[in-house]
Amino acid sequence: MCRGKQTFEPGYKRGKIMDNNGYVMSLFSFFLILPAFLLLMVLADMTVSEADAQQATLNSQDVLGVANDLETNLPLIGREVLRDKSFEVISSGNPLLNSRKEVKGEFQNRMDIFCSKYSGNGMVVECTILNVDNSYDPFCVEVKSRVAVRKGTLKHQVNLTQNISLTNGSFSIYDPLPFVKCKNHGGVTITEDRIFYGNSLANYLKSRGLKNFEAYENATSSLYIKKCPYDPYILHGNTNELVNLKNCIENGFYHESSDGACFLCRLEGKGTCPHYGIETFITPAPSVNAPFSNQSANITFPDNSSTAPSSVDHVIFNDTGSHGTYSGCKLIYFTNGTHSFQLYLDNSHRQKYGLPKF
Amino acid sequence: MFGNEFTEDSRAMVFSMDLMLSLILITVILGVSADAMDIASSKMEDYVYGNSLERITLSGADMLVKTPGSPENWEELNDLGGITPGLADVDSTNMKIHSNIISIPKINRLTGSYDKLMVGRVIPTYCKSTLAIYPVDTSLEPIYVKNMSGNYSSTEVMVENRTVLCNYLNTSIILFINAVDRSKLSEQKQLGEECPHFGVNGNPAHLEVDYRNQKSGWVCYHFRITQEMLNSTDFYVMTDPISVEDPAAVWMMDRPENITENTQFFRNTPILVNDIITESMGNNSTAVLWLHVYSSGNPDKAFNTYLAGFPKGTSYEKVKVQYLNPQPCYFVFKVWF
Repeated sequence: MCRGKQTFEPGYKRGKIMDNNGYVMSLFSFFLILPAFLLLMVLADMTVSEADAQQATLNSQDVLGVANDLETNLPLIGREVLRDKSFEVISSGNPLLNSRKEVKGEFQNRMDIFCSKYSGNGMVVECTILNVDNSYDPFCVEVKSRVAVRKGTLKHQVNLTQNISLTNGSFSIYDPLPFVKCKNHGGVTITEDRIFYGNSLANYLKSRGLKNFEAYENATSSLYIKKCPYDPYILHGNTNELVNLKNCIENGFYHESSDGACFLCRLEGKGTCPHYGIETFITPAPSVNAPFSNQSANITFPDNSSTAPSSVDHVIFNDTGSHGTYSGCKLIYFTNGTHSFQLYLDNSHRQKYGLPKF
Repeated sequence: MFGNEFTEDSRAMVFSMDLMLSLILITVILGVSADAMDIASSKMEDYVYGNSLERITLSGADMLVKTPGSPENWEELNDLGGITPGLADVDSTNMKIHSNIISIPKINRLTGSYDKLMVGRVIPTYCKSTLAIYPVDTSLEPIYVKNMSGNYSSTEVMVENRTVLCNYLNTSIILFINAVDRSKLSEQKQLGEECPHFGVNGNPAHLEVDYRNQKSGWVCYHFRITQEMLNSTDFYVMTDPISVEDPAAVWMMDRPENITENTQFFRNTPILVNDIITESMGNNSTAVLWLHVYSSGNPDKAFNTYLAGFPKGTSYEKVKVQYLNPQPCYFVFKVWF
């Protein structure tokens, strides 16, 4: 420091680092470089702030990207869960005790595995399946979930409600109901994309004491859930030849029905449920034409041989009460010269599908 | 003090050491103050920016491009009260919002009521704006959602230019037969559905084409048509590639109620099928029709088939497969005070 009349003579001039008082830097020099220090500090502060802002932007994009990725993948994984659960039921023949709970649990497990793929790089990803239940559309299952993504101090959380389609996708979803109902009556087999009942459906109906159960020997029905395009449904009976009905049966299409079981209740082996559901036709085996039969007639009038349980799955599989399964009258929808292809339908279903009543 | 002593001391120095030190201190204080002022002014600038033209333009463009508006189907409503416009496309099957893909029906609706929908809802009432969509494909005409020919009253105009995707011609794919991808699969998966030609009235059944064993056959799919669609849409059968190399390839369209065996060759150009559909539908308001495509089963000559809908009156030159998917466009939004 300066003292009295001491002259400033920098140490380096005398070939020393320190001056005579032991100071490396004079006060004067110190004050001269002080603004430079201040400027340096301001610059350093700005650089750090800018780097922080850039990092925050990058993190924010990462977080949003992961959240969007999860949102896109949720319905796809959910659809796989529905397919696998329904395959589990058709393989074992055992229904799920609580399908909503079990689907939700399996869905949660798969989402946990999926989320763990993001766990590196300081990312914390959580997807909680809140609820699995019926959608307003019976060909969909509604899933509610919460997606939370965190990285550092950034957090993005979104609650989602998504519909998983049973019909639109890269693979088809099985109808598990026939496998559950017929398990203890001989079981069913799969031929191409149809269910072949053999004796099991007749045995099942016989065990319930229903008349004319023999009509369902070697019956078939659809394996996969497919939505019927003949909507409004009265298009089924559009012509006398019933070609739309025939095409609907051959493709194994399903229809919306307030009496039919929903998909989640089908997993539980219920033939009918209080939810808005779906129904399909169970087709009896074609009968050999009698030589003198009138093949052009597509309607016959009720007698002992022309009635049987109505060929709609929720009627046949409704074992909840004594009147759940009601009879229908034979409706021949196609003859090929040697065989007649028929359904047994009650009047209310005939009206729904625009078919001639008896 | 104010004589020679001030300008030079006994050692001929102009500044005394004290004065020098005080000047340095003052310089430092001034420097720190200037820095503080700079920080304060940048904060003020941020605040001003918050209300500036740039922010208004950016957030307006974001709102239009990234959101579908509220409600999501606002373009279908007659009453514009309570509507916030947005142009992002919404997938009608799963209600998923396609950010950065803008919907042409929404653009058309916005064109009709631009000022009513934009002013006070997307941009403040004291701002003016124009919006135009320029397709990258120059053969397509630009859409001037709101045009104001060059007479800007303000010296400062903010322009936001974004590249977005847009189904520019408002086309729709009614039916798509993806035979090319399917023909390359090692396992044979069912392509198509059981069609009404399955052995009806002694007619030959439509057996499915087998690309794995190179067996010729059919691919048949159904589609639903309403009179409303028929009145507003031109339907075309198109192939991809446009030139079909399979010499056996034919197609036909019919209805289960009126099955035909009238096959037609592909013409290497889009084929207008409204007459066939009209004839099949008759007086019915809704009908389920079937498109049947026959091919030789040779995977090297496989082709994709589309049944595509173009808005009624679309010129034939614009009926191309490339317009069935969203096209890149420039979204140009100008705002000024």
